[in-house]
Amino acid sequence: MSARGRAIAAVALRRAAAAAWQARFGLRRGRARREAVARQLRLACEDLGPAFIKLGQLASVRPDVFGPEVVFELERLQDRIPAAPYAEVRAIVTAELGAPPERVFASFDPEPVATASIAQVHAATLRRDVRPVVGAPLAAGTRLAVKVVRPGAEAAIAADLGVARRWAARLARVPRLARWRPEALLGEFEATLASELDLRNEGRVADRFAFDFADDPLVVVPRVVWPHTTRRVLTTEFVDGWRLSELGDAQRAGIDARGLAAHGAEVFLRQVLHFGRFHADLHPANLFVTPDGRICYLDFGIVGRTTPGQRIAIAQVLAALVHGDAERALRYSRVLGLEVPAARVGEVRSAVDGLMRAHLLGRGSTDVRGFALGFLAMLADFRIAVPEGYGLLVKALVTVEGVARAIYPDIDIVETAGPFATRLIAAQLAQPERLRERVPAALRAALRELVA
Amino acid sequence: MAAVERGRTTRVGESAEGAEPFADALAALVADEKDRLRRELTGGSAAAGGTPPELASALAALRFEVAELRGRMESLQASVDAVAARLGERDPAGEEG
Repeated sequence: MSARGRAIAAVALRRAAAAAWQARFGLRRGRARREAVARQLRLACEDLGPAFIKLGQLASVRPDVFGPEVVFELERLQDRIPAAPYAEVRAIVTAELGAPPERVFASFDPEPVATASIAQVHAATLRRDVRPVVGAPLAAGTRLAVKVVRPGAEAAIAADLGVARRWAARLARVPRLARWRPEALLGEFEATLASELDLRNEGRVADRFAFDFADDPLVVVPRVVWPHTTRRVLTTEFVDGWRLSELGDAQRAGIDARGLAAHGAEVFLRQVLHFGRFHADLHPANLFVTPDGRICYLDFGIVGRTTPGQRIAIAQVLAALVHGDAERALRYSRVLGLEVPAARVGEVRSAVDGLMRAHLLGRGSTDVRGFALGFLAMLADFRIAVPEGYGLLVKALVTVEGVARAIYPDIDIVETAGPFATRLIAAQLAQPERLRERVPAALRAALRELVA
Repeated sequence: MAAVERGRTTRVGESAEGAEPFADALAALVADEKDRLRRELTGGSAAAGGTPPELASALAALRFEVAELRGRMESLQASVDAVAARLGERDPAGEEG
């Protein structure tokens, strides 16, 4: 075993022992035990560095594979990575852009403004006018954010993934763990990670998002400077603002926080229900509020997709949640791939009904997170598989609630979603192809009614 | 269909003279409405993108695709220039300079 392999094994054993202790060697049951294991799993990822932090972050958007406790614990993963030395960053920029940063840009700050497991961001200034894909031209002198893949990040991640692959092969031979398909899952994560390491992909998704929301004055997506963007360098305009975690009462006082929070939720619903692609990695570090009261979206690393058929079903599920209709929610969840065995439909419907009453229909503000946690745990208890896209969506909805509440703590996300879902269902039903199916039947019914 | 034909020949006021003429007139009305909707719907799909808002939307989508391609080209050119600079062929920053 390599030195790195031994280090990984040591961390895994230490964290497993801590989890066993916190779970009182199995004496603590159910959720408490699962939460203890999830916490140690997160700490193990943080101990093991960039590749495992990234794997943990990818696992946090897969409630179809991992239990709700693990998923919601892993979303708290934090990159506490020291900044890479400027000389190494300079070497990467020089290799990628053909000249050192001080010649490519009018200015380039050697101190990063942000660091993360894969890349770090430096402030810079544009040397010449540039025409972006979406939006007005960027003039020389515009402030920029230059994201640079950390020196050695790709090699370190490749080495760690090599170790992880050997572990996955071993775990796949353990009967109780085989159902997680560790090797296949790791393969999926590797593909996502490879895509994230090529920063051009993020730039393309950002452009598409900017195009989709070009008509929305409250949405800001930093414009990409393509002549200074390559596989390992992504250059965008720098947008000033407050991260959601920094948003205090003073900042909220200067903007329409309630309106912005509701609008943020609508923007997400438009992504899911209208455009069919959504930012699936929203968290407080990935978006902020600008001083003039707009929402700025960053980091388009993980994107979820919905087909036209799924969009109608999702709108119906949302409408069912708003109106507390468990039967309807389950009926349309089936369209999204959620297979409830016939013998258990009654029990599951009753459980969903109970969760809706507890978290969505009670007095006061609704609690989507509580509902989602209970719903996913209930599915796990009934051993009902969660389809991948469905799980991602549930998780994303919870995140949107968290984000909206970070902007305006008293917002009721379900109340906000109601009118939008209803409008969308109406719009979908009014589409020519749907009308063609429905109008003759409706007219026949009306005729029968009239002549009866 | 016979009811529809009868209904189409019904004159104003005749449909109030009993259940049968009323049903015929209504059937004709419904059939006409269906025809109108069918024409509208099939016309709409045949000439998809035909109305000014649809054309504007199609134009915006095309412009975005072109701009996206331009962005890719600019990025690739940056990579080409970088490799060329490393080979000592030319200095892109100096050229722009």
